[in-house]
Amino acid sequence: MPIHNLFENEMKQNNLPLKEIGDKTVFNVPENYFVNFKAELGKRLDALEKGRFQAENIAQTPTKSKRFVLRMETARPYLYIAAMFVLLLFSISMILNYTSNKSSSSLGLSVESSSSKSAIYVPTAEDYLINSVGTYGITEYYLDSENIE
Amino acid sequence: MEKSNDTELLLMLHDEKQRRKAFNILVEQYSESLYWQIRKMVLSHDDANDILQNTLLKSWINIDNFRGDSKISTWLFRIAINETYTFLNKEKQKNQTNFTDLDDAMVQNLEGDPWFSGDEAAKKLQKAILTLPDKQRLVFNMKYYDEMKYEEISEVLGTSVGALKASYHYAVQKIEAYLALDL
Repeated sequence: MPIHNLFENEMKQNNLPLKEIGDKTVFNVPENYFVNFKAELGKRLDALEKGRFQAENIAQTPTKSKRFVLRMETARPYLYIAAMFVLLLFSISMILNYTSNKSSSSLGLSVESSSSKSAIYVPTAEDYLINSVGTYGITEYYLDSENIE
Repeated sequence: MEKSNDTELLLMLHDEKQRRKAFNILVEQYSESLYWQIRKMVLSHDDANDILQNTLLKSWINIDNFRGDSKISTWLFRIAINETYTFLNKEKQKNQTNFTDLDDAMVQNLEGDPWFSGDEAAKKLQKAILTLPDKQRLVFNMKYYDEMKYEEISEVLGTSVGALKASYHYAVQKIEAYLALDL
């Protein structure tokens, strides 16, 4: 015989004080408790659902930083296109510059050399003579009879 | 414990449009039996009311997680038992900080409880039941008051039938001993 069957037989014989007390419930509830309970629970469920709905709405409504991120997300492809366009223009201008420099240097018409000529003044021998002797000295030189042959 | 077609009710519970209606049916069917299980564990009507509300709200929140692996009643009873254990543990912690015993406090509350109609012998029986560990108390209540089959208790508590029979046997022995001392 299994041990729990032995227990049951033993209990049937020995639970006299428990039998005397009986197994009737000694607990009561307020009148219409279970009817009112359903209504009360219904209210709590409504509040819970309302709260959940609001929480979901809050979660769905983006905050300021989230809004900025969202804007950035939408603007990102346009920004990439603009950046590519700027890069393309820059590279084209660089290539054009490079090719024009190369062609002018091969013809010996450097832009830099022509501009440097106009910018730097190179004195001639006549200038040097005028500066060192002066106009008075030259006149005297020509008027000096000794010098006229 | 099984009162209606579980499959049909479960289908309704998983349907967004019918969920609320199905849940009302569930509350109608199970709230009373859940209440009495909880009440016998915590003794106070107010505490039982709070725990029952929490149990049903938790079941509402977790409906999607319930796939019908067990009966709806079993699922609900498990939630109710967990909620009851959580409540009792919190109360024990509170009483520990106040240097009082939870069982004594519960018996004292019973003395002035307007929703308790038992005589002295019934009070003594409640005191005797309170000397049992929580799980043994639950087994005793389910068998002694609700006359549940061991197989049903086993399904709810996840304990083998043999272990439940032994647990109930020892519970009865302890209670008998307590009553013999006091009566």
